[in-house]
Amino acid sequence: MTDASPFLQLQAIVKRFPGVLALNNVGLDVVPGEVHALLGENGAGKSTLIKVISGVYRPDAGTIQIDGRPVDIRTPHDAQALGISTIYQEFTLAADMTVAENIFLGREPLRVRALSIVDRKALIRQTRDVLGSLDLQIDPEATVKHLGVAQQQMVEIAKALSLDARLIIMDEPTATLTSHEIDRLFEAIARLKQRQVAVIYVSHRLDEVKAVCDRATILRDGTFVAAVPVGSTTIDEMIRLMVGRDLKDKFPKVKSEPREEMLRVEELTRKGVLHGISFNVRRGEIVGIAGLVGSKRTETARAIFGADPIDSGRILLRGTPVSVRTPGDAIEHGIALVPEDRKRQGIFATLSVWENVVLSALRRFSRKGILDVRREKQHAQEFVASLRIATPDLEKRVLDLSGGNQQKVVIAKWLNTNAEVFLFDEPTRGIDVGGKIEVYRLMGELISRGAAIVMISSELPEILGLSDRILVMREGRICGEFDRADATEENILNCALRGAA
Amino acid sequence: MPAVIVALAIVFGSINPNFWSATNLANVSRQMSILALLALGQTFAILSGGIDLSVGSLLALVSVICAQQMKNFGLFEGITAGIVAGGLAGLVNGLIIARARVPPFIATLGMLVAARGAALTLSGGLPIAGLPREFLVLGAGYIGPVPIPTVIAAVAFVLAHGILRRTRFGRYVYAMGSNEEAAVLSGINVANYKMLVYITSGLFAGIAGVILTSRVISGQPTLGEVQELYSIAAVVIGGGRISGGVGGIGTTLMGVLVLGILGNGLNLVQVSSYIQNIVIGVIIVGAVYVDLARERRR
Amino acid sequence: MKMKRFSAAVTVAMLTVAGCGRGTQTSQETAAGTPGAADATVAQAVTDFPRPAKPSKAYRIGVSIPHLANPHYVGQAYGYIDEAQSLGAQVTLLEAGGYEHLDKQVSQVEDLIASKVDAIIIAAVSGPGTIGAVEAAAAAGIPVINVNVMTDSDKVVTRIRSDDDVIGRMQADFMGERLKGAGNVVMLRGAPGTSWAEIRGNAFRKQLAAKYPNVKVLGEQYSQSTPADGLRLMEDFLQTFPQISGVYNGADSTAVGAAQAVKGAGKVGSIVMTATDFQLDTEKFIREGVISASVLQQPVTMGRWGVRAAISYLEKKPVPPVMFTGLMTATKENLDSLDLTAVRAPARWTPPTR
Repeated sequence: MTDASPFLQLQAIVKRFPGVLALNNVGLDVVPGEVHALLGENGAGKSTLIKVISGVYRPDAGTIQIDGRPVDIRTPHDAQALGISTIYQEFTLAADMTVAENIFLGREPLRVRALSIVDRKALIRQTRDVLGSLDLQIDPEATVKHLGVAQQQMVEIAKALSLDARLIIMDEPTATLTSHEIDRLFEAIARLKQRQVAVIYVSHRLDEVKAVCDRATILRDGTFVAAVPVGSTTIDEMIRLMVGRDLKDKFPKVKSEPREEMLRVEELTRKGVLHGISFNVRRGEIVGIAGLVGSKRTETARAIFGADPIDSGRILLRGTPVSVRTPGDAIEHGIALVPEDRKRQGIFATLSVWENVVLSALRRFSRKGILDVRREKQHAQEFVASLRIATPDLEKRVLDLSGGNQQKVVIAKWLNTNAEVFLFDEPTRGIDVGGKIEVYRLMGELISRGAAIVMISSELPEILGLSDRILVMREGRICGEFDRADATEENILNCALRGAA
Repeated sequence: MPAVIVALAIVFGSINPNFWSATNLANVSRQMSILALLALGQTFAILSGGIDLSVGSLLALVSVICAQQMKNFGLFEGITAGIVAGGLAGLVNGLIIARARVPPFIATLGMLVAARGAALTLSGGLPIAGLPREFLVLGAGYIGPVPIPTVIAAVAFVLAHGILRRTRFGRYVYAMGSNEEAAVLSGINVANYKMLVYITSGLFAGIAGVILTSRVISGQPTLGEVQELYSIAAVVIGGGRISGGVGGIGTTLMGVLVLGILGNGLNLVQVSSYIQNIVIGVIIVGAVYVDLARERRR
Repeated sequence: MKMKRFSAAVTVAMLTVAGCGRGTQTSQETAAGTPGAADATVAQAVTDFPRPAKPSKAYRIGVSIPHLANPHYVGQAYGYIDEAQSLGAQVTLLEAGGYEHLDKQVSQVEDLIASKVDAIIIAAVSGPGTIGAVEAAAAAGIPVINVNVMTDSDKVVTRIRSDDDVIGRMQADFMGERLKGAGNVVMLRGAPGTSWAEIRGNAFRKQLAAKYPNVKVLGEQYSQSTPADGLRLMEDFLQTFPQISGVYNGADSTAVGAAQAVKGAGKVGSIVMTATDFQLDTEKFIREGVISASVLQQPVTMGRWGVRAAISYLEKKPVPPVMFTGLMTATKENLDSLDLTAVRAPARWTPPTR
């Protein structure tokens, strides 16, 4: 396949941002009908490269060729005209319009051209054709917001096809999909291949890359590392290329003997959401909570943290019942929540690193409301150093850090409050391999210091690799509990899907 | 932005040397002080992720209450009543926004209309004259060569800067505006601090209203039309982000200086007030555009 | 309503007090601002003010007026500029953008002080509200001339205006005659806090009460001086008081709106409406018989006298403390025989928008 002449060819692409060389001499070629993985840790330059290809950024140097002819992609519209479509993690569909209207938005078949009267019948027919070519069972007249995430993604793909796309860029396409939905996506990708459409596939999930991709281009720190055939490259090799070092242990588990009970939750109930949730966590212990998306794991954490009201049940710390009505109460009692959606709930993107790190502990740095800024910064500096947060300086806005470092900032914020109970909700979502290991190391450090950790995760290897005990949730109930020794991916999934251990 | 201000000053100064005269500098700074105080309050509101549309109308309400109380009870009582009235109106804004969860735009839009109505009702639509002559000193007097309103505004700037940069409240203002949900999850009592934000804005409007009342030495129910929009303009021209979390007293000061120097300078070089409005409009949009463009290049 | 009368009384009292501080000129000064002493004023005020000799120096004169949306002020602007040309002076004309922009007028006067003009002429947006600005000018040694709308301060060189007291009484006399001594009247007084709205309205009421006791005033409203406000208030009055037989307007800007309301209600002919001034629409409505009469001021003359007073003062020539420009009544009958040179700017003339 690599013998075919490339559809897209990038050479020596350079892209600078103030203070950062985001892409340095990067090349990439994609041939028709190929699924090409773009791999690299967060901050390696994948997003920037995609944006260069799709016309969001213009490179400072380098050439882009399509079918061997140099082109200048100034805008996303240019990219589309050249046959390049991009499907972002956040979809760009109009939620209140129908599938058909979305696919042909701005290009509706017209009955009376002068009056712009849409030929609805033709619109539906053409939509059926497009959906059919992907073997999709979606009603052209369904409103997009009533479709599931996976189906919306299919509509995006169909839309790209209807635009005669010859290259479709998929940015983390499986991030929010169930495994069944992922299979459907792979089927759709197979059909794209048959039609000689190329796909650039960006993902952190290397097993998926292994399953669906033909070749992989690997970036590290904005530079090109290698382009490898996926079939003959192992996952470990890919990781090594991405991080530039061997990863002996993906889950560095700190040995820590669970001690006395720290947190106990009894019959936590919120009408229609949580139904009698009971469990405990001991000092030095990580309790993992597994479950499908929508099994109310996040809601459980929020309820314990006082972010959502509860109707009944109680929370005990060190054996004493405590009243947690607000996050402020929770913090007072030494509970911390690292939320799942870092950007929306965790970081203060426009504030500096140090302001983020000390934000929940301002009382400690103030007298009568007046802050001791010097001490704050000193303190923040210590955390930046001890957590190895990669930032040029304390004043850097958190917005400009990589995902893994942003997550460390959030964790640092809680370390500052002297929290002893940590609720981690998807602690490594969207974080690259190296960053994940750093987060795991931190968690290990916490329990060895005697903290208690509740970790919600949708990544089973993570749950299995780190937890001392594993709870499985389904529809707002705890439906199973496993010791680390007994737990396998199989029995956890079984429990999460069917509600029985 | 500082370069723009210097450039403006040089241009105006070269066309009309009077621009640099002590009387005129005193003049510009005195005229700017009202907008400056309103913009300070507005800075808190916008930084926190909200907005305060009521500050212009509050000038009128404060003016009427200040004048009435001053006639009834005396100089000091009138001044106090005016400032307190501003703070109370801010408290009402805050309660509606933080407790009833009405969006700030709507809540303060309501106050904009209602405060104007209250000012007209209390005054019967008529100016309230006959204030003690000593009161004139507040708006027209000097400390050394510096007009008293300028001194008050300058003190207020230093104070507000201290609050924003050196207090918990100030830090929380930034945090709320940067990411309200994260602020809640970080244990900040967002409702309480929002109330404090609008009380602060109201108090600054109260001080501005009292000074303006002194400048016109009467209670005037029609004062302050569209001043809320200029206060918003001052905040964003300097580089404050309209959606909150970015900006500060420094950027607001820049905005106030640009608007103030522009208004005075254009008068001095005899540009018609109609054309002045066009210029100011262009500058508001242009300044924000330049800011965004700089942001995009990152 | 009670509140309004109270405040009005206060305003008048202020004028009186202000006048008292000025030594020999006290009696005239007091008379100027006090409707009660109107008869004495007419006797003492100057009613003619010829052009002085052209000075050797080109004086710079700053003029601040409330707005230019009313032809009345356009006429006045013409008066200032044309007269200044004749006298070799340079006029900086500033408008505040309406009676609600007091703070703007105050700032404009301050800017004029800073730019060191030789004299300032001000038609005040608010009587009490401009005290500070006027006195700041006086303190800076810049003479201030009050034209048309007065500042409640004794620091002005002279006051040039119509005898607003007479305007009120002329309207009352016309109203009383037309209604044959009996009827129900509403009043649209005009911009709150201006000397003209106060004095004209008070004189109208007083004259009615004295000469035509059976003509009752049902209600009165202040508003910004715009047709939109006149229309709105008059529509409301017509709803509240169906028995209205007369409408007083302190200025014709509200009258133009009120006339539309009367037309809309189909009451043309059954309502007597009086006004002050002579916009084109006012003329049209008089021709149609909707507005019965309007008392015409001489804004062009006011402007001319303002400049003459400033230059006379600067040339150290005597300037009388109060001057009244002339008045005449326009009705359907005399409409085509009026001499309007002192009332309106020339047809094609527009104010300079620098």
